[in-house]
Amino acid sequence: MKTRLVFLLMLLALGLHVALGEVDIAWGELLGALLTGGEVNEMHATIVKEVRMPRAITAMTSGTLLGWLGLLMQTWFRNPLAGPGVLGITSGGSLGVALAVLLGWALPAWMAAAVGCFAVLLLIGVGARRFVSPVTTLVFGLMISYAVSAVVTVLQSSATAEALQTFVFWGMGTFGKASFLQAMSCMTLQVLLGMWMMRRAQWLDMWTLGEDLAQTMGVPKARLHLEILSLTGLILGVVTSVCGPLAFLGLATPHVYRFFHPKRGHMDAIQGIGVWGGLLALLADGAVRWTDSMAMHWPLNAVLAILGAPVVLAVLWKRTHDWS
Amino acid sequence: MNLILNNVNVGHKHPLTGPLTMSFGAGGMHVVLGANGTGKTTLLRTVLGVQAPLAGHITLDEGAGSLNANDHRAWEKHVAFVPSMPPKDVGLTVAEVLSLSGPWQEAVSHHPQLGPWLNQRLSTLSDGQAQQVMVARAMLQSNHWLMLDEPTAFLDVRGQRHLWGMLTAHLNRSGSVMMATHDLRGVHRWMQEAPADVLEVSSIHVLSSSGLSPLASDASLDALEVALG
Amino acid sequence: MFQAPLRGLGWLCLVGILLLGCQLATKEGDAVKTGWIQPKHAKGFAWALSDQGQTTLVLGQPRTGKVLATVSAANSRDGVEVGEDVPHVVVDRDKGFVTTSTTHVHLLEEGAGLDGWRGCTSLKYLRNAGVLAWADSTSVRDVSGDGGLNAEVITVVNPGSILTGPNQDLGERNWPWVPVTEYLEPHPLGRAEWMVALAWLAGDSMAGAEAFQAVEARYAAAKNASVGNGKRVFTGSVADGVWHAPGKGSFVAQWIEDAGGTYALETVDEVSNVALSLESMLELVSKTDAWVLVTYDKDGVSERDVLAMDPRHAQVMKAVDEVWVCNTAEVDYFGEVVAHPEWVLEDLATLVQSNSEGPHGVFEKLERPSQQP
Repeated sequence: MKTRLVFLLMLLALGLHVALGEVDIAWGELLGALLTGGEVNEMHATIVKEVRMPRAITAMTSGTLLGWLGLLMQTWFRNPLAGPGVLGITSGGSLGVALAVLLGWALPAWMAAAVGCFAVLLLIGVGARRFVSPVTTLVFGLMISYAVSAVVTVLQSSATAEALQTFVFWGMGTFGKASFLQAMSCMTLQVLLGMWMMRRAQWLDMWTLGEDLAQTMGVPKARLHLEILSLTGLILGVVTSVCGPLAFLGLATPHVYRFFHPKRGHMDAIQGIGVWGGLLALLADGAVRWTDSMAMHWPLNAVLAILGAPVVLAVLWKRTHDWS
Repeated sequence: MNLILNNVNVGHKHPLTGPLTMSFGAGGMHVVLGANGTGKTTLLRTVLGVQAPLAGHITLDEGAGSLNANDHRAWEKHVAFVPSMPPKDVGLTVAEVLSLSGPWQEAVSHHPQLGPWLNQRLSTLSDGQAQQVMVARAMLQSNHWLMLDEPTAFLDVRGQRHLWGMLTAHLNRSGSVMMATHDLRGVHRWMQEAPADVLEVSSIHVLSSSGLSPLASDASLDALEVALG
Repeated sequence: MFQAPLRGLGWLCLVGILLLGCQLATKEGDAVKTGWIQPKHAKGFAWALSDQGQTTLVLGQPRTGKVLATVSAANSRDGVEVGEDVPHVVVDRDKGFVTTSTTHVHLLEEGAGLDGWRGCTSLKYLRNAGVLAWADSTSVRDVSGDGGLNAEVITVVNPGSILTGPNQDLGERNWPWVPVTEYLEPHPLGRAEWMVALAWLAGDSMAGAEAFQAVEARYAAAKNASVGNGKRVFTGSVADGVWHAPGKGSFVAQWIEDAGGTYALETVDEVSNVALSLESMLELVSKTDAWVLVTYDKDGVSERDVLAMDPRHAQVMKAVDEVWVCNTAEVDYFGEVVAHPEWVLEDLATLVQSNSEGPHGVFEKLERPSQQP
């Protein structure tokens, strides 16, 4: 079936990411490095295990996680243009990094981003009781994004050129700064989110029928809201802190899935979006690494935007009535 | 299972009517009439358990025990909802929608007209067809009470006829129906057309700020219009 | 149900974040101690000598005094008291170094030489033919990658140290990062003196010290030779409706003073760039004699180019007698020149004293066709 094919493509992409790079490493050495035992040049082993694998795994899991979060946001807000960034959490991460870098605090970027994301999450959590409808949460998220942009601009205007550059580079997003530990955290989160989504697949299907109707069918709105917010906040916080703010993956992946696959039930969508997210992220990172080798250095967010913007445009253009 | 309201005040912050205390008998077709804005939807939402009443209790009684509207999990097994408008932009197929509430085969056996639509997306059906699916789904969820909010609002004559047919079948299987509507003609026509010995309208109430006022169940159309004001 | 504990947790986290921020705030640098070797002009580095005779390079921020890192070939920095949270970087001199700025390259070339140069992120910004030829012949690798450095190439190159800036997370990937803050030095000789620190890093501190002595001597000679006539000079340009210029505490101001002139921005004591309103700038301009503009233009800088930068420059030019331009497309102002502050000084001296272009071609006088009567 199609999903299986995409899964195989994703594995292929993963394999290519590990096998190819600046340095030529023979297949035998690759297997030796991965399976320990076998003659491997120590430097090659380091490259495979500490440079390529964390990067490829981070790309794959981030793509899956963001794709799932995008699906969650689009279902919850019943809006095809919703993405994980809609809650303002990624903006919180930017603010954290902006404060750390532009004010010169000695905090590593990933920690600053994590703190920023979770600060916004707490803000949302504290105010969540007052949010009567999903629309209110949406507006809150947008307002946070605007407020953060304003603060970041003020910070930028008084920053040194070098600090500014560091901040801008962080904003470009990359899978290449993830350590092995961070890659494994992303994988753990993937398992967690995947399991949760499969358990809640039925509730999410019911939610698409309407807010009131879903509640009469047994969907506990407040509890689902809390679970969605907490999981989105936690996962987005981790992904943003590891990779920087990533554009479009969350928003576009569900639409790419819908374009190629007819099934809309959440159980099917979770599997399909999971593999498509991984594949798209690996493809994007492939483009980034390829431009690196040609000394062109296209940032990850630029590649994602180039891939993602047409998808969003296509969604608006088609205006299909059964996107959900 | 009779539906019992005990000193219930419905509304968001202020009660829309005086306290309601009444009982709706099981197995009957109960119509709640009201002009727009009188709170029919709020009443329905409160009875369904989506919105908490400002005061009072809503229960289903069955002999020895009774069920409270607060107990959502149990309540949903006995009370199902059909909103006035079928949901928009839903990509799930008819079979998938039905499966959310029960085995779709059961629904098809009761409502064979759904058969050909099983693999079509809900969004591709007409309003009338989609509404039939939503009614069938509600019947899968609950064998007892069906709550319908303005069910004929988006239906043409043929759609309405199908709807009445499904409701009749439900009542025949000892189900109960509560319908909130301002469609006097439709209700009246159905009252006229339905075979009197098989079933009848059990109660008609008019909802206003003073409460639910009963009308005779064989009231004429003029009487209904007068009552509605 | 979750509201109360969530709120409590929220407050706890906010307080925690505030405390963390306070802790990381910059501290005052250490005063001169016994066992320390301080450079003569630079404020961003110093050497600490332990009782066992071990030398540790201590790197910091020249303006705030905050210590960024300690560097040595040994695994620890015994006896050097700089605080628990300052990271210690172990460098292996035999494995060479990687640079991330053209300034690093020239400071190293001047002192210890480029024998240990293994990689660079700014190969395409280098202009000096000799350096480029060297890079070519010794296959210095381009190590730039998305988000900074290409992890794979760095792993292959396996350098003993990576020269970087003060904002780098020194724990990233456990690589041997060395934070260089020469561009934050308040004195031009302080900037150049970094060639001694970098030479030490490259393993030949003697060469670095000798090279700097020569630079210092030439600088001192040029400074002594310049007779102060107090010509009033200012620098900077208009951007976003505001005038940006270095403050009186910056190395640019120092250069002008050493050349015998007077830096016009007397009242602004900042070390870094300041922004002045146009009005106050124009008022100042009316009392000055020369404007020095540093800009980049591949085709050369003409009066029209200056006006194109911002039309308000016209008012500035009207008020001064002389306009001088340093075209960084022709002069490696951020590269080679950093290691030779005496060139700038000598050229500034001729500019100030005899109103003519100096021997090194750092500043050229702007032709003003509009001024022709």
